[in-house]
Amino acid sequence: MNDTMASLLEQWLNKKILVADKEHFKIFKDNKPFQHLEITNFFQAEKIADILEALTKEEFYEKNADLFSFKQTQDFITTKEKTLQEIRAMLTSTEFTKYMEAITGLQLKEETIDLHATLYEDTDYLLCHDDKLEGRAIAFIVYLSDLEENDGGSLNLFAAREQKPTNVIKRIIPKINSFVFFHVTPTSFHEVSEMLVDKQRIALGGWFHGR
Amino acid sequence: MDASINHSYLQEKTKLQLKTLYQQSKELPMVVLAQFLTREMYNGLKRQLQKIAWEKVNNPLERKYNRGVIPKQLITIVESKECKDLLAVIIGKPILRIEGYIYQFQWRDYTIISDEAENEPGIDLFIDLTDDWPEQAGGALIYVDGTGDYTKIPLQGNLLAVTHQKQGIQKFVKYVNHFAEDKKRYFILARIVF
Repeated sequence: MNDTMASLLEQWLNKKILVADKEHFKIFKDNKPFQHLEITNFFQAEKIADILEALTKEEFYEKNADLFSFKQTQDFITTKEKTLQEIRAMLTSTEFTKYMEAITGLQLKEETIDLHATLYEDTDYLLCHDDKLEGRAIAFIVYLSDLEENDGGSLNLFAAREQKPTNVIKRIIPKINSFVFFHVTPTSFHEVSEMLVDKQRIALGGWFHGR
Repeated sequence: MDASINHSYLQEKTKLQLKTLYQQSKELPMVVLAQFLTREMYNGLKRQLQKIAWEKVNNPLERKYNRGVIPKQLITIVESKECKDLLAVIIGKPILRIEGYIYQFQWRDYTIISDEAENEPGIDLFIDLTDDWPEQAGGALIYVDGTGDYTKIPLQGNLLAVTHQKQGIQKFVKYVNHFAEDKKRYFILARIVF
């Protein structure tokens, strides 16, 4: 990674993260049931605090259908909040795109991202699906809440057989400032388990697009 | 069979009123009959729920629930002359029989809109066999038209709904959440065959 690339990312990410990309690549590639990675303490702590503060000023809209029940902001491309504009700019930068390409081995489109915030509360959920939509290459989540195992709200990853989901073989419990992402494929089946307690599960989320 | 159906629904004047209600919405013709069965018949049917052999259905992308064969006693009621006459007035043509299942939904059960045959146009007959189901637990049968508009069948035991699911209308059963605790929700959902 060259000096110019390093400086922007150093403003946002914890230093330890920046030097671990080879190791991250190996873990990402080999992870089951499909390629994914969970990086804890990803951003510098004050960035998380700034994002949470900015989100208090964003409108969350109810999304309720057969597949899901949760709340979501509009895409940050429309936001007027400076912090959210900055994080969007960072995530779509050449530097961060190259960083993600180094970890995933995938070719990503610069300056192309879907980015919003989600809020899950008691009984909210997102049922099993694969995220597959034209252009999406990497789905990502930045957790802004801490949950415990019995709280619900975990990101559950399904094994697959004959292109269909079978059972959950991995549960990722949201921990604040962890960055979780996975390769979107026809078998990247996952769900957000129902929230079982009166807590808030807040996260940034979206997709990087492939070239 | 006179002892099975609420007598008020067998009156000619009532049948015509139900027909008017059914035809009120051109997009989703529907009528709901509360207290459809006599109390004695309803309670008798509920006792039979314990004897049903349930088949577990679990396809994470589409559905998760238990289902069984509709009790013969209920088939006999629906296919009785009295019930057929009632449905024929409401719908506007004589019915032959019904085809469907009895369903059991509990915490974490659901259906997701899919391309299955169940979303083909047709007329649905729904009978709710669950009392005291918590409204906030989910589990309702919901019809949607793809524009965001939806119609939810009320959650009420001994309720019968007749719904014309037209082209472009889909249906699902809302995910049952933890407010259901260990309660189970039972209903019949069948297609009317002409």
